[in-house]
Order: sequence, then structure tokens, then C-alpha cells
Amino acid sequence: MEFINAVLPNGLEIVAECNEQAVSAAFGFFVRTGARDEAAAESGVSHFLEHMAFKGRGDVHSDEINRRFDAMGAACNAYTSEESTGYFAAVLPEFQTPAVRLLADLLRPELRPDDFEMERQVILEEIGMYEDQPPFGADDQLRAAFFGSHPLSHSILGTRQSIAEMTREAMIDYHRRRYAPANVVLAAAGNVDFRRLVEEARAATADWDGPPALVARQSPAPRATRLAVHKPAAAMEYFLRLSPAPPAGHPLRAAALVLAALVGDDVGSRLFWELVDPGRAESAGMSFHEFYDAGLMAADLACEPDDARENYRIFQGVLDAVQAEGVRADEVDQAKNKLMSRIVLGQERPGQRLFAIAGDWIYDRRYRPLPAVLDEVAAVTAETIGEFLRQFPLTLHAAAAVGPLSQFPAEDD
Amino acid sequence: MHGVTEEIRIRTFSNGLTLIAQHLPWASTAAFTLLAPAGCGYEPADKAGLAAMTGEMMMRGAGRRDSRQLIIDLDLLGIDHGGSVSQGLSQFHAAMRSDGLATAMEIFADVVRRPHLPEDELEATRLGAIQEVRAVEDNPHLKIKQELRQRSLAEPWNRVPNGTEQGLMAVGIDDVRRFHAKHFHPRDAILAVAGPQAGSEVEALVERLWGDWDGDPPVELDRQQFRAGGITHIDHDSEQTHLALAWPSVPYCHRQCAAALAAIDVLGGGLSSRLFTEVRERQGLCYSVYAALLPMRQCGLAFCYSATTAERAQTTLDVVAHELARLAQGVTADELARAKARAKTALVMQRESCLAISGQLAAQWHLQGRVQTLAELCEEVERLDEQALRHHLSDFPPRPDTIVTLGPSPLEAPNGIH
Repeated sequence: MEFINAVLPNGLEIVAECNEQAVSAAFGFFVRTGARDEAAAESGVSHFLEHMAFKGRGDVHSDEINRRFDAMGAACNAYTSEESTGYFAAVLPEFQTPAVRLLADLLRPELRPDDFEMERQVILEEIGMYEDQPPFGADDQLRAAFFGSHPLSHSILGTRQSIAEMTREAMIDYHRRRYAPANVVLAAAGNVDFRRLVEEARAATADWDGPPALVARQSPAPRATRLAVHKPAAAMEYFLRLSPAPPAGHPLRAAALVLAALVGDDVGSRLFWELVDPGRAESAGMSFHEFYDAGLMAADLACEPDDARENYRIFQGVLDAVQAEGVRADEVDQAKNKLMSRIVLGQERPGQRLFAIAGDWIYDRRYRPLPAVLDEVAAVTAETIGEFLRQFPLTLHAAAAVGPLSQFPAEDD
Repeated sequence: MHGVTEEIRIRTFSNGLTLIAQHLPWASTAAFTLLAPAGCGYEPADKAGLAAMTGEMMMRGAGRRDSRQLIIDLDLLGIDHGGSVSQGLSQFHAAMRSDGLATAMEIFADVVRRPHLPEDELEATRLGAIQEVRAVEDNPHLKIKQELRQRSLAEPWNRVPNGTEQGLMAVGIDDVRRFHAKHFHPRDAILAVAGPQAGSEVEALVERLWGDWDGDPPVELDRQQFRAGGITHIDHDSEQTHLALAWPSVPYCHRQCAAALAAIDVLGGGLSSRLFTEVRERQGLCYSVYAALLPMRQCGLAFCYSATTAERAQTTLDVVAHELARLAQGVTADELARAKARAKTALVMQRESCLAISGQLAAQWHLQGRVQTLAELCEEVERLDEQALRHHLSDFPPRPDTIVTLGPSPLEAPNGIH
């Protein structure tokens, strides 16, 4: 296992964890841009552009791109988040050259008017799909309420209206601002020929230019809010709850991961024992999310509408108890062991490992080998988690009730 | 490159349990999958959900560990685990860092052979199971797949493993204990293990933990059969209308299975598949569209799915029907080449995870009573030609005879489908 990195004269960064024992190789272009970089009038443009990337460049149209990926047997896809947009593929090592070439071309799409109109319909269908799956959609509203004027309040999908009104010119402008080579990381994992990768990237991005894009960082001022998103047709009532957490690269990052597992893992966590194991709730959990200048502890609960008030009281009680009393050493050990094992299992394949390598580099230009990641988790103690709770209290929170309840349950304390 | 040498040890013990152990010297993790003939197909008709409840109850204490200690120990040992129930089988699987294999196998030998099945946890299990049934109503994609299966396969293979509220309400502790005693037995059970441990080491471990497992021979379920379910509309208060269409295909061990998989891939597998190209890329009708094949022991179920805003759903259904009719005429050489490349890559990449390997080995043994090496599987794909696909599409034409739509209003049957 060897880590290598390089920077091309145009500013494109290349990072790779090479393992010649691997049967596959994974490659991805990750752009430091996402919903937070959008102006209000272009809400959803990052994600819309990610779709448009697959429509082709020059004479090459989407049919041809799709055929080329499939002809390699590539497992390829793309995502858009608040802060990054990624285009990636896992292939057998012999397809390194065509895979990198094809992925690179995705980032310089033609943005043809006909394709733009067609894809607008697809995005509207995607929004419709999420609207039919509560609590999707309400998470956007809650994040907006929690972050207020901070750019992490922006929706990734955008709204029906913003997508309907989006212009091709606005997308071209956004692309020019955000897709400069210095704002892009090419990451690779697995059976990668690094020397060849640099040459391939150089050739594929020779005509890329544009000024480096700046990330506007600002401290968030999270706001406590209660929302009710009334969905009378929903079968279950869903609760979403956000509280602050450290930004990416923060020394308390591992503590946040362990705390999320301890409080809200699917099985064996505090929320599991209080709500899921007794059959009160269908699910209850907690997860940690990190961004450039902020973090989130996101907790959720799904249960019968009739029991929603009582369950929310229990849910809230679990979090209040953690905040007030801290956690025990034995449960920290339990959560750490589970988490470390899951990290190992979750990064077995180059196609999975790619995201850890890219994520670390996008945020703080750091390479964390797997053993180092595990060491960080192993070092967490009940005291570290106490420090986390002091700096990032679970009590300051925004919450949404999504489902048949027309009002957010009153909190009696 | 690793994954090229494959040492697979197979042993059927005198009690009927078959062990399949794959030795992967490079692996830093290990995993196993256990299949037992204890699916929801064996439930009494009025206790739908009994198998799933039994599976849940088995995790609530086993051997020397009570419910809480069992979960704590699995976490402490870093054993990632899960289970599921299908119509024919109950399945448990676990993955862990390789040095934890023996302990994990010991714990799951307790879970399967010595569960406490505590009466005082039955209600909690039931409440959780009922909520799972209700939660499906908020997931139209999952719901329509269940509805499609219910209408396109004969009893008991059309059952929903989650069960029904009524069925779950009827389950008592004696039902759970009886179901466990009767259906978790070694005859026809399969344990597949993948990891860096040598086959002989795994075999000795399994012999120690499972060698004296005993039980009655299993009951045979009725044969798997396709049935024409006609057209059904389910009213659903949603933005989109979801549609799913099914037609009969081949079982896993059928000589046309590789051809069937390739044909379904051309129809709705990859980005360049016909459904993705036509329904999404060219006409912008949907976000999600795909086709898949479910090959079982005695028959196979081919189906496709899409979802579109209600007012455009009829067009989507008509376009899908048109593509099915067009597929019946065959596939091009280029399409076949892409399907083959995708199949081979998927087979190779499956070998990157011990858990995926153990799951695949167990499934192969269950479906055809033998396992195939990666080289054999790739060769089967390589041998496919256009003629083989033509034959297959003529023997098993993609002519849906079960259609389910779910949304605010019903659709009209496309031409040629009744």
C-alpha cells in the first residue's frame, strides 16, 4: 500500500493509494463545489450540472458515454453534496486509461440546450420521487432552519420552482466559476499505475483552465427550531433532529463518530435499547456529518403516529441524559470496537476506499492510512466524549416532525 | 493478483449440514453466511410473519448470553451481523476482522441451536415487526415490488416475509418455539465461510460447533411456479405513479440462465440499457427505471420498474411495453458485448469482500447443489452469443402477464397486454 500525490501545472491535484494486490481500481474526479456554493437564484444547479455531465462533450453524446462505461463493465456513478461533487468509476485495472479519460470528459460537458430541457424533467421526477418517501424533503427544511443564513442551509436538489426556472446560462456561469482545475482532485485507489495516471490526467485536462475557486468559510450560528411538516398520508411519524458538531479535520472528529455509534447505532446503542428493542419505534439513530466550517449530529426516529408524542419524549430523554451525565467507559469500548470493525469492512474494496481518500484530501489535504484512522478511534475515551459534549452540546437543537401529526409535540420540561 | 487461486473445501456432515469454505490467504477480514430452510413459505397461512419473528427472537439471547449480553458481545468483538428471511430460507451472516471468526461462529452456533426465545420479549418483537409492515406504506418502490411478487408467483413463493399485521397478531410463543424446532435443522442447511483460515481449520471448527446438531428432515414446499397475475392498480396518495411488470423466466440452474441475465441487463441493467436510454435519457420520463431477474430453484421471475409523475405515467408504461416488444426481437452484438463485460467485472469485484463471497457460495449451493469457480462463471458468460440470446428470448419472451401500478389513478393496459 503506497500513497502518492502530484499536482499538474493547471492546478489539478492527483492523490492515490496504490495496492498492486487489488483486483480492481477506482478513480474519481471530485470537485470542491456543491449546494453551499450556489447563489439563491441557482438553487440546485450543482446537482443539475452533475446530471448534465453525463450528456457528453463535443460530438460525444450521452448514449455514447453510457455505452463506453458499460463496455468496460465499469461500476460508475456520481453524487452531489453540500460541498463536493464527485464522478467516479470502479473498473478492472486494464481499463485505467479509458476510464480516466471518460471521467475527465464528464467535467467539461457541452450543456446542449435540448439535453438541458430533457434533464430538467428528470430532476423534477427525482424531486417527486423523494416527496413520496417521507421524511425526505423535510431534511432540507430542517437544515435551512438550523443553519439560517449560513450556506449549509442550501438544498442540494433545489425546489420545483428553482429547477423550473433554471437557465442554461446560469449553469454555464456556475461551471466556469466552480470547475476550474485547481478546484478538482483526481483520486484513485486499488491497483493503480500512478505514473500512467499522471500522464493520463495531464492529457485529459490539457485544455482545462479557469481561476481557482475560493471556499467561503464562515462560522455557523445554529438556531434551535421546531418544525411540523404535515404529511397526512404518511403511515409513520418521523422525527429529525440536528445539533452542532465539529467541522472536518477537528481533533474531536473521532469522538463525534464514537458518540454517534454509542447513542444511535442500528443495534446495541442507547436509542436502540430504549426505543427499537422494546418495539416502541421502527427505527431510531444518530449520525455525524462534517463540513468545512461546521458539523452536524443528526438524530432520527420513526414510529407509529399514535405513539409519537411518548416516543419523542423518550428519544429526547436519551439525548438529555447523555448530555447531563456523559457516557460510561464500557459503552465507549463497545462503540469503538464496532466502529473500527465497520471501518475496516467498509473500506475493503477500492471502490469504497476511494471516498475516504478523496474526502480527506478535499477537506484538509491530508492522507490518513487506514491504521491511522483506527488509531484515532481507539484513542477516544469517556473523557474525550465529555469534552465533545461541552463544546458541542446535544441540547442546542432543531427538530422536525414529519407525518400525520399537524403540530410538533409539546416538550414538557 | 489475489482472487486467482481459489481453494474451496466442501463437506457435507453426516447430519446433513454442508460446509463450503473458501481459503483467501490475503484477506484481513473473514465472513460467513448460514442458510436454513426456514423461510416464510413454511408458515401456517394464518401466521404470516412467524418466520421473521422467529429470526428476531433468536437474537434475543442464546447459549450463556441473555438478549443484552449477546448484542454487547457482538459489538465488543466487532462482529458486523445481519439476518433476513425469504420465502424459502432464513439467513444469518456476519463479517469481522479475521481473528474474530471462531468466536463469531461460536456465538451464531448458539443463536441458531440454543436460542432462549424468551416469552417476555415476544410482545416487543411483535410491535417492531408490525411497524416494519406499516413502514412499507411510506416506501412505494418496496411496496410495489411486494405487490408484484404476490401476484406473479404461486403460493407459498408469493409471500411477503414481513408478514401481515393480522398474522403477526396471531403468533404466540409456542408458535415461535415450534417453528424454530421444526425448521432450524441441519438437513439442507448451508454454511459458507470465506477468510484467511485454511479449509481444514474451518472444517474442524464447524465440526466442533455444528457436528452434533440434529433434527428432523425438512418438509418440501410446493414447487416454485409463475402465475399470470393480470393487471392491478393500487390507489396511493403520491406524486408519482409507480409501475412494475413481470414475466416468467428461467431458474438458476437452467442452461439459459446466463443468457437470461444478459438479456435482462441489455433491457435494464447498465447506463446504456434500453430502458435507461429510452425512458430516461431520450424522453426524460423518469429518474428511476431498471429491469432485473430473480432466478430461483425451480423458476425465475423477470421484472422491470419505473416511476413517473402521474400525468406522464401512461406514456412511461407504453414506452416500457414497446421496449419489451423490441427486446423479443433480439439484441445486437455490441449490446451483448457490453452485458458480458459488465457481468464479468461484477463477478471479479464480488471477490473483493469476504462477506459477498460467502453469500455467493451459499446461494450457489442452495440454488444448484454445487459451487462454481470464478473462472467457470466467467467462461459461462464468455460462451454466450447472439444466437443463445435469440433462443432464450424466443423460449421466454419478455411478455409481461403481471402488471401492477401504484399511484393516484389507474393506467390503461398497453397494446398486446391483457
